[in-house]
Amino acid sequence: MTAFWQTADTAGYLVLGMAAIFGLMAVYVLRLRSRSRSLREELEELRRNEAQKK
Amino acid sequence: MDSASKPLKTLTLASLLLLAVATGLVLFYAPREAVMGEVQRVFYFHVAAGWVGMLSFLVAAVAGGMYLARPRARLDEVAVSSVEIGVIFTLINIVSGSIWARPAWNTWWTWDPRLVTASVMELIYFAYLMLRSGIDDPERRARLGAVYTIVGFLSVPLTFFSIRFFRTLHPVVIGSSNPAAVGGFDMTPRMLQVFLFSLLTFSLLYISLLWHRVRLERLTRKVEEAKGQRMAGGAA
Repeated sequence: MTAFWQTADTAGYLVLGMAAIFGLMAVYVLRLRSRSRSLREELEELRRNEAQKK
Repeated sequence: MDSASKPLKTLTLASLLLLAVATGLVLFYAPREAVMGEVQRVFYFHVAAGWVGMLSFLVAAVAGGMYLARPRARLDEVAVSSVEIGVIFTLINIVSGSIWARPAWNTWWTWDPRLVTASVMELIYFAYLMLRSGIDDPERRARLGAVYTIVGFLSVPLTFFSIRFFRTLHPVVIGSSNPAAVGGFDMTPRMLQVFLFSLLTFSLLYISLLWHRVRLERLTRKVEEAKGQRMAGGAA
């Protein structure tokens, strides 16, 4: 079987390029979401501990 | 990102919608380029990602300059957030360019002036993020970061003009290209429409991401402050 990088048709590169663009964007957005969630949980816990002390 | 304000939610939704429309335009509305074929469609998002990268670094440098003139935590939050987004979009630009280069130049990578300057710019801003993470004092971190964003910005015009000043393989799509460039093409009116729409979409996406990222930075500071108070309370 001939791989897409061995053919004159460049559609495979378009698919690869789009996958890279959307993939990297998606990874970044998901990372932002998970960072936000863990920070919120951490802040909640710190505030709870502070309230318990008082 | 969970409890975003209504304007932010609207902006995020609008930018996602525009991204979907832009993708549709790139794939179905823009004409197929005669020489390079389908892979040329990568160009629309490749350039838009490069634009966002450079815009991010410009915003960071402006915020850095404003911080040095009048130190405010908010300006530092904008600078670090903008640099992080810039690093991601410059990476997208470099990776998508490499994928385009394989059929156009017959190689994934070559030490062309544009590729080198873009990679150096990426590394400079990556180092900024690493440097910041190594400084605990928030004021010192912000002041050093501000100076870094201004000095580091020198790499942006160098990258932008590298294809105009040096003899390079990289095509200049807007303006006259170097005769040695490979993969250049003249934009048809439809191509130009899709190109401008992609630039607008990515700019909006940048604003939306910056807003989210600044909120995250503020949250990080709140956690740091709460931890500091807890430690101070424990010491007392």
